[in-house]
Amino acid sequence: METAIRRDMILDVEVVDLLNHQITMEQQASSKYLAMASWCDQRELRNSAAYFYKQAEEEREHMMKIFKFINDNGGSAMSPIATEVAHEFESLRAIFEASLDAEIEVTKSIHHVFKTARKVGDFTSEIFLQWFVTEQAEEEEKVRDILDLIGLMEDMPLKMIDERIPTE
Amino acid sequence: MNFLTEDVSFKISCGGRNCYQLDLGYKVIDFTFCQLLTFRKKVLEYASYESLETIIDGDNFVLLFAADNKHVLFLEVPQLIELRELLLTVFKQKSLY
Repeated sequence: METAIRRDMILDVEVVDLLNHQITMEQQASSKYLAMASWCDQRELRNSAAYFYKQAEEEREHMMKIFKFINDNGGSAMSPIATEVAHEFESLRAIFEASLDAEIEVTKSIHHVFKTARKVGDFTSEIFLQWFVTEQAEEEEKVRDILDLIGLMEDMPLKMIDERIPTE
Repeated sequence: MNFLTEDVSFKISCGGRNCYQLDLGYKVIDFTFCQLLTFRKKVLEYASYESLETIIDGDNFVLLFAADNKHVLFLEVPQLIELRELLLTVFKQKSLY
């Protein structure tokens, strides 16, 4: 039976389970960012809104990347269900802090899948996940930079802070 | 590969690439590999501790659709657990390489 399953799929089934969980995490992150974008958009914080719209798209791209990877390698990708996300925030700083927490959560999850892939010898998944490990480090750093910026400009009008939020 | 219990005897066999059969004793269900993966996920979800608690507190059985809704299985808690064990055994791989 082991050989039969191996002939149908190169991936380890436990890793596939975790990758499916990761799909849900990425979708959830995308939904969170969309809610954040909406909050900013409603308050005319144009750059922040653009930033979060872009983040929402990026998370969806990550989700699709994993989705395709599972199906392309013989597995069965599951369409994710996003649960309720917060739509109310106290401030721009609170939004970016929530954004950092979301990124950390995703990073932890990616590391867990990566560790499992390595443990079970699923090198295909391990190599695929390397891109995500690097990407998450960059994503976290991007939010930290923005939080530093908000810290430095704390006494400035919100609109001026927003103008310095990177949209690229 | 056989898995025997007092009341049920489930068996999963492979009839070639991408062709699997689940023998429930009273009927045989054909699965493709992806259908089997989906079925495995459903069974594992239903047989989790939280889900079992809900099932026991409720009707004490589940109706589970299999193989692209071609079949519906009536499973009581012991059968669900046995099916879970069988699927975990079948998918257990010591090493991929």
